[in-house]
Amino acid sequence: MEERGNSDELISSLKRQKNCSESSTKEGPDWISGLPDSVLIHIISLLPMKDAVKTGTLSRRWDYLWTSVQNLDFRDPNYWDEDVNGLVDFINHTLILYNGSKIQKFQVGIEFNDWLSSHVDIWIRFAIRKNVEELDIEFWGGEDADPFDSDSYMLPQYLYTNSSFTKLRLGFCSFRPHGLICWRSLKNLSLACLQLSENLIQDILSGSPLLEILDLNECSGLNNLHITSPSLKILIVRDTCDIPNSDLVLEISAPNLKSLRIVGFMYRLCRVMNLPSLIEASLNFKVMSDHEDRYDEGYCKMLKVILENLCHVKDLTIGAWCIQILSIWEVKILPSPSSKRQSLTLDTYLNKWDLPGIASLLKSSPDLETLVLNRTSPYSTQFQFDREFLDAYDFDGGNYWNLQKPISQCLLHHLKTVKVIGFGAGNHEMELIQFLLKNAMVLEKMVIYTHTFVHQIWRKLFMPEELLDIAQKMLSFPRASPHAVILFS
Amino acid sequence: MKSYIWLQTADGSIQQVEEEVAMFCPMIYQEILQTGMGSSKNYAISLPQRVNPAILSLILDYCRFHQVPGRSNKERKSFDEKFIRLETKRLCELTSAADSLQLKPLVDLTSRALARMIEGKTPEEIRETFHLPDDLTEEEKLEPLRNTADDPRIRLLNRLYARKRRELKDKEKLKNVGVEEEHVDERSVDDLLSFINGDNGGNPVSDSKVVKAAKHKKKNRRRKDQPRDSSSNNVNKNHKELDDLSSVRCSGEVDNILVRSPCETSKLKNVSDDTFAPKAELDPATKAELDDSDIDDELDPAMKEELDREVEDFARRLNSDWQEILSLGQEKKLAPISVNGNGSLQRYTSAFVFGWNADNSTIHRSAIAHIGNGFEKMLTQSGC
Repeated sequence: MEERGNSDELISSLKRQKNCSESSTKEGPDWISGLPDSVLIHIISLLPMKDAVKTGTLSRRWDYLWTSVQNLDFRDPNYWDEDVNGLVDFINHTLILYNGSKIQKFQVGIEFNDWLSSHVDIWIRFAIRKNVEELDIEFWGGEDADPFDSDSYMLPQYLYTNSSFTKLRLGFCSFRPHGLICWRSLKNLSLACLQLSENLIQDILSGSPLLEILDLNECSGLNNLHITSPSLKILIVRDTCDIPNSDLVLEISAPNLKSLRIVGFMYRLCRVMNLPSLIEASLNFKVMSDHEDRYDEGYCKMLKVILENLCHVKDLTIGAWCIQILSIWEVKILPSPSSKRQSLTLDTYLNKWDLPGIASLLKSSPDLETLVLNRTSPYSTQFQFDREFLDAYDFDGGNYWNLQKPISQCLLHHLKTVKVIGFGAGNHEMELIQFLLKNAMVLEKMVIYTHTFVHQIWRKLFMPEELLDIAQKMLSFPRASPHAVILFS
Repeated sequence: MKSYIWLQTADGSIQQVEEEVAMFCPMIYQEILQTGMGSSKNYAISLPQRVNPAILSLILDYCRFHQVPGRSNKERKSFDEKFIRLETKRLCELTSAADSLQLKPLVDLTSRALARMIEGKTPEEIRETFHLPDDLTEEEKLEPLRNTADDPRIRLLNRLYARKRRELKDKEKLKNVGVEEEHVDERSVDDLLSFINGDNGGNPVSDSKVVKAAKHKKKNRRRKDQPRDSSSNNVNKNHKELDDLSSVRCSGEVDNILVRSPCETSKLKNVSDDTFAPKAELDPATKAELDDSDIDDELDPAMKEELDREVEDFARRLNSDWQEILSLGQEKKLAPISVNGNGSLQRYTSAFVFGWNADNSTIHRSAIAHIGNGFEKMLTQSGC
């Protein structure tokens, strides 16, 4: 026993020695600790909670700074499922030590287990007591977890009448308010994998007079979204995963809406109507087919109606699947609905079967001023053409643009800016650029972004010499517009 | 005629700056408005002490760029990214100066850069980067975290370990599946249990409660154990797209084995239990019992006592009744399901993975190598 006591003493004295020698032999003075508390706390608040708490062990100066932080972000991308206990303990201990009077953001992402409910209740209560403004509670289950199970977390009733929320994000829990919903300050609402209903959406909207952004991510129980809320500006819809059924239709109408985004995999058809205030629309979806039979007709009709109803939209973004449906339309030489759009973004990698669709869009956008080709979009999903169709309607992709006559109106009169994001110097891209340069009479600038966003980072695709070659080649293309400038970024 | 503002730094030096650039700083803007200073050399605005001439020129570069209204977001971002590439000392000085001039966007920018230098590092690494003194005692370092999980090498080791265990588990499953093919009993768990309970006046309430809780846990467990298929698991994907979290979770890495604190070892062993308890093919009754073992983690000692009693009861009943059931229901012989000699199995209920021969009711000792008290007691009582 005595020996152990001695060795303990020895260790602690060694530590003390180490500390002293360290501070004297460290190169350079400690600049960061000279910053005022408020700035240090601000820096710490930009860190995820795990790192923020760690700063409490750095030095005496930093000892309790993290406890005044206003952002509590407990989401951890490196978090492992079996670690639920650890995370729960961590959150509980952190909240005990927390010393701030106000929480701005409280964010938790955790795998749901039954026994978690009481803990989550306490966390939410804690955050609300500190007048939290941005609350983010997202659960997830495993592979075969059913979000619409009664097993999921039941949100406490006092959550539905909170007046300090400005941004709320709920995922994979039970959304069952017993009374009216009253979110007086809420501006941004994001609901993921919840079981909702049209009535519930109505209740939410009428209880949130300031709501501007509504993001419905894989929520079930919604067959139509008829939104009359005057404040709602942006609506994002990602349909729930289900067995594809082309007899069902998702209807969206919102007279005051300014921006609409439909993304992801749809298991049913889609219809939009009554969107007179819409300025921006994004069609980045793919309809899953429920049978092997060709459903081109149905999809073509659906998309045509959608585009007709969006013809007044100034800024349209359209994804690969929709472009390819338009290609079907185009090769069958069917007219495409004319529009007033001024900006068109193509979210596609650019394959041969996108070309007719793009031609169709150019033809139907006589007032187009800006054209963007975005090859880095994460939403690019392709249409499954069948062999028969491909054989029947095949064409020469390399020569496609040369055969495009007459030249679209927009090219002659309005197209000023062209951007290519994620340029890869493929044949299709070069041909398209060549075509545009040759025919766009009022083109002012063409910007080529050569970085591509892959695996969460921006990567350079070309060596400087390669880039030089490409640039020279491009500059040698004949240009219809005398003012046109090509920029590489 | 360009208008200039005169600024004086703490060291006494005075310089003149274009008006619109200087006005971009709220503090200077306030000074001009409230005191009218700065219009001439004699009345230069004194800048806070934290602003030295070198840093001032940096700040003015920043202001000069950003005060131009026509720039696109992309341009501004691009400028910021290049602007922020400074050494640590400069970055700190810049933060300090920007803060004293109340130039919030620049404070944000520099704070983010500093935060990036802190994120993901161990305290030692951070101290080295910023030359911080290590002046807290071990006790004072109140860290509500498990320290050891932070080392990325340990994390990697854990991951590899977990993967290896999973492979072993899968191999086990395959092996056992082959053996158990014939042992499917179509009767439901509840049926069998109620049969047993009814006969012997057992405690139906607690049994059903225990079984029900077990079912829930079993469901949850299954979720975790099955490998993640990223293509169909849109939920996770969406969350990631929404949150910009990395997609590390897709690989489903689990089991912080090396670093487990004592209370969690039991949970760990539950996972290993699954290896020796192939799910579909066991007698449903024993399966129900195994399910009970899964929930032992979350039950308090009182429940544990009750479970002990149940187990004893059940084992006794098994001995007497199973022969009848077996001879009634099936002609098949139950092959021994032996536990692999993994010495770490300490949960007594897991020893229900025992085998017996159809013609005698003795329980193989081999399966019961490392068991807790409850089961030994039971054994002696049932006279094996």
